[in-house]
Amino acid sequence: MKNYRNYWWLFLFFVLPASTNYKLEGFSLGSAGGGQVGSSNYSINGVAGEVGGNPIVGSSYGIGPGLVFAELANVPKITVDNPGNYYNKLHFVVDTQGNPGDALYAIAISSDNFVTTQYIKSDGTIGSSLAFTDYQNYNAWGGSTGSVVSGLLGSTTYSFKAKAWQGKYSETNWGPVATGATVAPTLTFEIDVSATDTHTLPPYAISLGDLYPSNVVNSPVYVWVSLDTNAASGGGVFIYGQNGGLKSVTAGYTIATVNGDLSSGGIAEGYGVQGVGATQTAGQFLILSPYNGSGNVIGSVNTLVNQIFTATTPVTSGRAHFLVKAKSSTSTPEASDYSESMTVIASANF
Amino acid sequence: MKKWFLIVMVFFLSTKQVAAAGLESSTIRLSRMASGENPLPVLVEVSTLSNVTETGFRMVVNSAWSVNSGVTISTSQLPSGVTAWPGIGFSGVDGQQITFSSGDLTAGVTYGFYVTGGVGLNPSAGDSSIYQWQVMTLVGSTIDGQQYVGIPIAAKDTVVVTGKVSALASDFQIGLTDNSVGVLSQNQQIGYTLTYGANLHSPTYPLVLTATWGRGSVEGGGGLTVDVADYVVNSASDAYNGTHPVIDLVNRTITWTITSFPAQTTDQKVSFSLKTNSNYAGSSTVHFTVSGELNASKVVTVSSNQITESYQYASMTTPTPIATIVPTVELTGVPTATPVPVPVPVTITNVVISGLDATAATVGVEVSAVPQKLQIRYGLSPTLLSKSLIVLDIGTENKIKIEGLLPSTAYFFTVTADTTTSDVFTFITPSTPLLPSVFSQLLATVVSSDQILYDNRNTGQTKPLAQIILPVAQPYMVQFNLPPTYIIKLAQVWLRNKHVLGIVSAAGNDPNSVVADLINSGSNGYQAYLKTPPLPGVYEMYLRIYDFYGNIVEQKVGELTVILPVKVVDQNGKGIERAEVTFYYFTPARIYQLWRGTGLLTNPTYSESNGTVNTILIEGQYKMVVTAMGYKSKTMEFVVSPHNGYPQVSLERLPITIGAVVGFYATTISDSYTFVLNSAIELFHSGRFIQLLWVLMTGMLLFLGMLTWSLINHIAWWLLPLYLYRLLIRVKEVNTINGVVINDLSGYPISGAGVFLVDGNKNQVLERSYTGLLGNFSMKVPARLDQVRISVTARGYDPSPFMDFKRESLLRAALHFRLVKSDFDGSYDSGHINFGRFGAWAFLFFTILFGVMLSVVSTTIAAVPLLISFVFWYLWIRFKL
Repeated sequence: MKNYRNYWWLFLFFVLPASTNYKLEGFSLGSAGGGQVGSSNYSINGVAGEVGGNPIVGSSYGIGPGLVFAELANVPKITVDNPGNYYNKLHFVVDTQGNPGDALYAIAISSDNFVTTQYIKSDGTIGSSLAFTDYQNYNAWGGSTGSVVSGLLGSTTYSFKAKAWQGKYSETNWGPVATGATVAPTLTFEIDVSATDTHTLPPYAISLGDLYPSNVVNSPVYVWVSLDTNAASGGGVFIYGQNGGLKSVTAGYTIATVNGDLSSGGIAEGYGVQGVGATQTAGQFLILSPYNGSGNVIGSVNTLVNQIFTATTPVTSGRAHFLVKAKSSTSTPEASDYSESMTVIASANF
Repeated sequence: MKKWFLIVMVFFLSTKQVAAAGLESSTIRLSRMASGENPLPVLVEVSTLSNVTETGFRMVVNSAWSVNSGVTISTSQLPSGVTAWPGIGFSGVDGQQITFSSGDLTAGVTYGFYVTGGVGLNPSAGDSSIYQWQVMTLVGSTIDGQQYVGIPIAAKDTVVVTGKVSALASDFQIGLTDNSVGVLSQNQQIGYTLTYGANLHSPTYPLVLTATWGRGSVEGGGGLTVDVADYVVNSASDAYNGTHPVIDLVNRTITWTITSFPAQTTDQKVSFSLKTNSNYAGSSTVHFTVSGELNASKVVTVSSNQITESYQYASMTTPTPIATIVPTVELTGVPTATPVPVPVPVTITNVVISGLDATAATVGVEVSAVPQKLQIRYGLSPTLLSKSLIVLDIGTENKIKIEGLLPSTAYFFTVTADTTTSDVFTFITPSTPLLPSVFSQLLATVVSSDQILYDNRNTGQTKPLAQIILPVAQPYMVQFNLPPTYIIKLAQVWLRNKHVLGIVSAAGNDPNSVVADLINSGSNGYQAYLKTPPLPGVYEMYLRIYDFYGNIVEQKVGELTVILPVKVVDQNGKGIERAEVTFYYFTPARIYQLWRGTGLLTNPTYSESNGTVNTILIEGQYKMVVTAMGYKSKTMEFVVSPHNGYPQVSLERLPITIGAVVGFYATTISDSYTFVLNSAIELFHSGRFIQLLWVLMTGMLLFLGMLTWSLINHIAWWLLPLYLYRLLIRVKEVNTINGVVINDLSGYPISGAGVFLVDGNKNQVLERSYTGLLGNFSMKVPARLDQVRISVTARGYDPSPFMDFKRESLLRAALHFRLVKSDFDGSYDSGHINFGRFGAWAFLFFTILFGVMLSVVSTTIAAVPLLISFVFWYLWIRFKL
């Protein structure tokens, strides 16, 4: 008994094809059970009968396998670019070359011109094997908008090629190769020490001058920090000190760094920094607590690495500055060599 | 824009296949990124994407670091926002690859740990160095995700912050003590000790000690200042480490500059002495201060306690003539050896800067005896006095001029007299010379007792003062026209005894007689009020000017001859009081003419109790006629000149007759009458005296009024305050009744009378009170009673019957109970309404009003409310009774 359920597609022919240019009013396959009808205005290729290679047998008839027209899908193309200056991603769009919407596509990727071939997985990452689930139709690959493959290496040119598969036995060969290149991950970091936003040369030094009891002294200059990175998760600026405060060797005493308001009576003496401002042209560069206080509220600069500025996304032309504040007390030993080496660090989260 | 910056480019060098990206982000931070800062640690932070079960972590260290098998890790003190990596543990090292065991990581959580050892030292990197490490998470032996991480190694990421904590005043020690007791007099030496120190942790570079003595302020002198104390040469001791003092006589300071004073050193001492002079010979007390100051590192200045000294000139008695001692020769058989004189070292008694300009300084040096050699060594440093001046014409008082100096320069000098060398003194030459016109057109006036002794303002004579002749202890005023005040900082008149043939001309040894500041009297006029020295002699008058540029200029402007006053004595030399002296002056027409006197100096005039005659005569020839009761009149011609003082007249005593006595006392009465009359006239010209009279009269009226009031009210006058108190204060008490018990016949108050308050309904005694000195009583009325009954009893009087009162009427009124003696059958007068409260208040009001007006307006207007007050008071007394 033949399984006629395999011939459901024959009903497609009962839906008369039509477009804005033409409409097929009717057709006939003739006695041969199949054939091609065409005119100068239209053509239709129909297959009836044993397209699967199996005879169609009924109780009162039998049909042997006829001529099977196994038409391949068109070989797809692919376009690749890097519009976001990604260091780990590339953007691609599948060109269907007229394949129907149910056609499936697989995409190969290689950083060595397919000496080693990898494949874009259905989740947008790359892998060394191609599974059936990695065949996706046009819409799944993002349609005309395209999609992004991630997990790539920076500063690398990748070759892309695609193939299509429509129905049984109809997978095409790989299409033409398209290439795209990732950029390098970048982290630009600079510090300046100046009263105004200007470039200065090292060595960097800040003299607080005389510290008097109950008098909060501001540094006469700011520490300016530049941060520019395309790291996907942004980056940050960190500070820490060698002594945990202003240390005098001669007096054997350290004005300890503190968190809090130097103006308050509870803090007799202390040292720390206060973020003054942060700007950027893209992304968002922010001052973190406890360095974002006002007045004489400062954050400590201890021997641990403390983050003072942050960016959670790529930041362009980030520029921030902070100042140093200190206060002595009546019990602070006099000395002229109070000093602290404050290190400013930047890192990016790639 | 030219800009130094560090660009870290992280790129992948590996071409190996990589697994699916299971890492969302990863970071490796060196705790110290600058080169030369070793060792690490390294902070590793990772956040994953996939939710696979991680079992390991691997890190491929850049070859710039030397990896060894001693890798140690830590998860303590991670930055905020970083979770301690679960299950992290060191597994092994394979080349640059370090493998760690790991627990499962939750996607999106940032985990971290420190690699604290085994990674070696940082590479010695320059700017822009780029290093890549590789991190990867493992699931079993499979790499789940990996990333390359760029590590910037920057050499210029360090900011050195420096500060200085200066010493505080409390870190230093300074105190000043002296050895003076009580009020000082002239030529008295006072010793001072400055105690100093530092509690610092480090030495002080430098530590400067300064002692300062100020000019004296004359008590009641309206800001008049004088120099009453001088520095005693060579009295200042050395400070720490042999630091010599430097004395600035211009600014009256002693300075010790200790170049390096050690830490934690206290209780160091220096000493110095001052000596009072006799510049000020007035009777007022002069106060001057001495203070110390410590200046550390030119930052901290600490002042010592300030000592205020009091000085008062001790009057000198007129020297008694010393009898001539006739040398006697004792003849003995044994010849004595001629004593060898023991040389006494010359001491330098005083050093002054008497002149100073941009290029020269005049140093005054006084020595105890004429030395054989007198030298000044000077230079630009107290320790390098490279130049010297040797004085050729040496005396005990010398003025040495140092020339060829540079403007605006500090100079130091010492004085050496024979083998004695002084302290180091200093002065600063001014930058600009004093205007040359200071003395070129000096105009001056000298006036005493309205007598103009010298005045060249109208004559245009430019030569300053000539000879001035004045008696001893005579006030006089000098006035100069000087340059504008913006140039003159201080101008002084100095009066120094003139030396004649090296000997002071004064009878006593008081060479420095007077110095006084000139006071700007408006425009360019400067004047000073002086008093001639108590000792006769010839005094030189100098004008010394200090300008704001630092110049000191001194110039002699005249001579003052101080003489004894005219004196009238009897044959025994005793002064004759009340002798009449009439002066005549010799005119150019060669005749004697009566001298008219001046405003304060009358002619004729009269001698004081000691026979002296208070008069001032200018140079010239005079005749005087002296008469005194009981003495023979005498006429005497004399000449007043610097060489001839006022004469002393000796009168011959005559027998006393009745007529002479009557005439004497008549003259005395006449003089007394004239004096009293003139004084009364002067007194009544004073508005303040008239006001005082008004106050006295008002007080008298008040007293008489109160006396009358006490009589009318039968109250002793001394009880009036108590009575007023009762009226004004006590009646204010609430829920009380007040009243008075008086003698019905005499009206006098009865004290000690019993007053009983009885419940009108129960006939129960509720309160009991006794009258006071004024017959007054006061009782509280229980609030529950609407109607009360009162009875009054007194010893010797008939008791009053019970009388009923409404509560409200009791509280409003003051009760009067009249008691009669026991043998008097009279009636009682009670319930009398007391108007005294209102009247007393009104009286008080008008009295206060009067007092206020009396104090602020004229007494004439104040009389109006006074009259109103008394009229009202009279009416009140009248109608009350």
